[in-house]
Amino acid sequence: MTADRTPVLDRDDARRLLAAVAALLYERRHTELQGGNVSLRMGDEVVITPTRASDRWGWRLAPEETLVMDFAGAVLAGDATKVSRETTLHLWLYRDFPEVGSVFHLHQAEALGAVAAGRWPAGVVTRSAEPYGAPLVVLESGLPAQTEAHDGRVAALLAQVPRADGAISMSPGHGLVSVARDVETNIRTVEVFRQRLRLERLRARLRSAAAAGGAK
Amino acid sequence: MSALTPQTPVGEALVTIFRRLFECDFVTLDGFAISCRTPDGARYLDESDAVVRMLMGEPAVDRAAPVDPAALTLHEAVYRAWPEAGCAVSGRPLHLQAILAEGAALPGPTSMLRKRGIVDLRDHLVDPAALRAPAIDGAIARARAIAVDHGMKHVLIVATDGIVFAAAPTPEETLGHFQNVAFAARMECIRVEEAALVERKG
Repeated sequence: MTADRTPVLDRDDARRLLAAVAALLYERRHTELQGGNVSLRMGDEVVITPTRASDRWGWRLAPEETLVMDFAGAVLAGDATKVSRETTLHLWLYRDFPEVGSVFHLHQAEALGAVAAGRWPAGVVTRSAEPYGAPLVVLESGLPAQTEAHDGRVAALLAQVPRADGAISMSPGHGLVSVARDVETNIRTVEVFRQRLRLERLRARLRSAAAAGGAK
Repeated sequence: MSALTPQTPVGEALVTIFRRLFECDFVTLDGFAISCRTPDGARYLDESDAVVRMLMGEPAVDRAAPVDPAALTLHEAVYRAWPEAGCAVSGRPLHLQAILAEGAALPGPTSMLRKRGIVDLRDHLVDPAALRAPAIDGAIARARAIAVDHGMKHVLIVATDGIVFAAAPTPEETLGHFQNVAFAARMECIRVEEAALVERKG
């Protein structure tokens, strides 16, 4: 468990922080150039990346290119023509879960590869922080993204697990949605999740290599 | 970002060490702590605030303890036992975790390890229980003795669950010890995989 240490932010600092977090998540390859959105809650407002932050900006946004919205979806600052379709899911999660202070939708290759391989069954995989560093839920295949059915299922599954210390929802073929009490904890959630997946794969590779005579 | 020197202010040194280890994937946000000694006691940076401090450029001089009590025990012990200790890092490098979890051989000494007086990582290996009080004092004394035998000033402990603990008089030296172990483990994993490829081709 981590304490809430994200500094109290005004709107400008929150936009600056979100732009920096978006760039970091890309630099760390938690996402790629064809989608994803990240956001944080700031009191009664949400700061969120605009549509096509990935392919148009390469995740390198100026703070003023982020959007500030209320929970009803009205744009309070930023370009109102740049609202992403994914915003609906972010606002849904903030409304349903008052303890959630940050939402990421990422195209993390390790997680997408694992879910595509059928690593986990649909439903609640784990409610505890072990073995993936956070509770994990998996959506059924075939739910089209950016629909009410998809977003409602993400919210319904996440409702079944603790969320403040970080939780992850996997949408097969689409991406990862992570939530946490603050942006710091959310970054930690996706970092640790990926680290645990990498560790499992690395161990399997070492076993395989050792069996092939590589440990000599 | 300026160079890491003994004159680097504590808050900046903490963030710089984190940034360098994080950028190289030698630590992730899964149980690490970095500390520097100050006249008012040690100051810490850990996974609970490191990323935002790094991104927002805020000095991390306001933390007198890490979130994890086990890390506090470890870091406090080295400052208490060894007055010259100026900086300490504890963390869990991915490749070392994998090697130890699989029961594979620890990496052999690289020139980088030898340069810092590490001739056999097995000498530094301890049971995880040795990192808890009161056993930690003995583990630190043993690690200090190994370093002194090789004319060095540092503490390096590797627990069998993958935790690496390094301490030295300066942040630069501490960073060097920690990253050398993490890098050697990464190299060893690649060596094992490459050797398997050679074996298959042969």
